[in-house]
Amino acid sequence: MKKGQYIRLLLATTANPTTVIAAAKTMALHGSATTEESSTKDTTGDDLEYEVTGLSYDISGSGLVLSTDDADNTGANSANDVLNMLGDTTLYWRICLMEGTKNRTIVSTIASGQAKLTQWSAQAQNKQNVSFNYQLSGFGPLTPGSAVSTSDI
Amino acid sequence: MSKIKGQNFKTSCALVADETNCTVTVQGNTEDTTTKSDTGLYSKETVVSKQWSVQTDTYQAEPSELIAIITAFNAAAAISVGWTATGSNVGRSGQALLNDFTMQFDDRQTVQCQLQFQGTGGLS
Repeated sequence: MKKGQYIRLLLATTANPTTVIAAAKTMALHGSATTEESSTKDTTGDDLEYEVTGLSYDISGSGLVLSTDDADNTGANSANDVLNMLGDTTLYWRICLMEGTKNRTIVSTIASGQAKLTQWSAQAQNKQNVSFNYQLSGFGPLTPGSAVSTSDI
Repeated sequence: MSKIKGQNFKTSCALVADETNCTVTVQGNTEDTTTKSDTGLYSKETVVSKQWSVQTDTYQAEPSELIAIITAFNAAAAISVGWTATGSNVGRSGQALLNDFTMQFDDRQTVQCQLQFQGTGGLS
């Protein structure tokens, strides 16, 4: 990763999202495979064998809660925008390698997919910035990235 | 004979080039084979099967490595995983499934990635 490049989550209710989350602090992609022991009496030796029987993933992250006007000025999803996404609405997301500050540019996509926002929480502690956490539950396949055309967002 | 430093004990897989921390676990699963004919209170354990797993953390994952990890996760197929220790004979290798991964993208930090493999079959 070159100097000045960074990785952000882009999230929207339409395909090929171009909207980052405002004032984002953390983000994590977590994949989990359900494995089942597949050894049988035909398997020689005492070493157990396994096979994958299911895949799932989720995305979690956090950011600062800004006033709606401030968030809108950045053209990003504010904490309130994220809260509005909570529910059974299918969301489109992608994790992208980006560069630039005022005019963010997508360098490449690392992963993409669909998800539903299942959790949103805010923490307001005395004399600290108000922060929020969100969690997305993966919906369908987790698609590894491929080179995409560079575009300003 | 000398102690092995952590930096000289490395796991290997085709997904990430380098690691920061790792843990390898080999376990013998036991069953209590005590019968009514056995005297005393102690159990009599027998190893009936073996399993192993590898966990590795990297603090400098590159985008190409992240894509390779997701591709391997989707494939749900066993890949070659092993470990070596410089100047020792404790190295082993085998086939394993990528059964858990976490990619952490935090502000002003390197991309951290944790992989967990479940061995399938024996070690050599």
